[in-house]
Amino acid sequence: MIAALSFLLECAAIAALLATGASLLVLAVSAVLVPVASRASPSLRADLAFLGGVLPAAAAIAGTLSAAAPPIASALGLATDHCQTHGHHLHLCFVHSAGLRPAIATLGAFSLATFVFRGCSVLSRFLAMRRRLLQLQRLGSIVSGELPVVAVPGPPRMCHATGLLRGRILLSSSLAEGLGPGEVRCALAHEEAHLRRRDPLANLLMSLAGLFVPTPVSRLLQRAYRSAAEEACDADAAAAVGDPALVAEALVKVAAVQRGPWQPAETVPAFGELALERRVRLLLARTGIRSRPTHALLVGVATSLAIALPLLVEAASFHHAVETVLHRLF
Amino acid sequence: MPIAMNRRALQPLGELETAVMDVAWKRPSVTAREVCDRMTGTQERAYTTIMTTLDRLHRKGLLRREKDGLAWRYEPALTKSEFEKGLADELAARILADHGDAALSAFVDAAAKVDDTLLDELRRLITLRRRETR
Repeated sequence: MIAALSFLLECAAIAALLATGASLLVLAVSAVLVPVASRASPSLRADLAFLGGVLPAAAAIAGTLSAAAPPIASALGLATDHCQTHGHHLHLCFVHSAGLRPAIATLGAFSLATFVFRGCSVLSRFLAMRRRLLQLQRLGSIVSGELPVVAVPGPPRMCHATGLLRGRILLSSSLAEGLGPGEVRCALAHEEAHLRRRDPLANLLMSLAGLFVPTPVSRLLQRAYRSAAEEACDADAAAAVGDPALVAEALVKVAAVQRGPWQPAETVPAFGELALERRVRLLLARTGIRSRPTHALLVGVATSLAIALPLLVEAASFHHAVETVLHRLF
Repeated sequence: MPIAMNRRALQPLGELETAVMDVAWKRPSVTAREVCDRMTGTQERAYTTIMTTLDRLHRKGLLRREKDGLAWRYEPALTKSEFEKGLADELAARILADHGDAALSAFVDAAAKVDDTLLDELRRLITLRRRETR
């Protein structure tokens, strides 16, 4: 029991160290790439931010699994007892624990507690939001379209894409009434772009991946992803309607219509006025309208596999390397 | 606007509460016995269950009541349309306030503080751009 607990805390410490190392690497690469990336298309920037957001989590999961694989394989009878080969340092093993070192125990316990706390918070927020969106959806009526548009009653707050797998656009009837047909087309084209890009799913994955890294790093990368995704969807909407200025007009009109007594006073993490100004200026500066597809999810999965497969194949070597590093560090 | 004054009333209803309110919304006023008589088939419930539900809806502020002999007579405090609009607004407000991440998929971030000066400036830029491209 104690050996299993030690193993769990050691694995948590390894995951925390790997994720922190990987996120520092991502930050360093981002600092170098920012000047170049700012000239890239919004879609590419969103892909890079997504990759940066999920990479530390992929490294932490793959590395921890790889480090933990030999004792698990040995316990399942799939491999010989690896502990016979190294008696000179720390054992990362729930069968032959060499005793938990206080520093690893503290780091592991802190990381595990933080992870569980933040995980529960993300999950409960996600479930609450999903429940509220479904309740809103039930109040509305499906209008039309390849991607269903649900007209919801109430003041003009909503023009919102939702659905991880089956996409829906929630549109306040009063917002639609306050806009011209061209502006409604722009808003819907923008939301359809979010659904085609699978942004709600990518956003959830980034939130989950963010559990592995320090909160400020996770927020920074998520913010970069969201801003780039909004701009990519603006470009898609401009390509769909063939007039970037019309999309800019729609943005300003919706922002004006949404201002009202119903606007929440609470501080909400938002893109803010700078984001609106930047989006409008970008649309107006656009000369050629080009819609670029996103490869964020594909690249994210491919990179995760590229990290995980070699680590799992070389699990025994990696396991020993991790033990040596932990032995020297703590 | 009466619905804005009573936020407690603007919560999603359960299945039984919805069925009872549907009966109440179709008539100017109802007693527990009248609701019970109109809820048949799969909706049928014991008289005491309906009484409790009506009392709960009254406490939520969705029904007003006055004595009618020995029984209470209930009437809706809001029309169905008022309730649905108010509930949709309440849900949207909660989504914006509690889930900043939701802004990701919103056409314009409704929670952003945007002032008139900025909007006027952006309108001016768009007009300028339109003139240039003509």
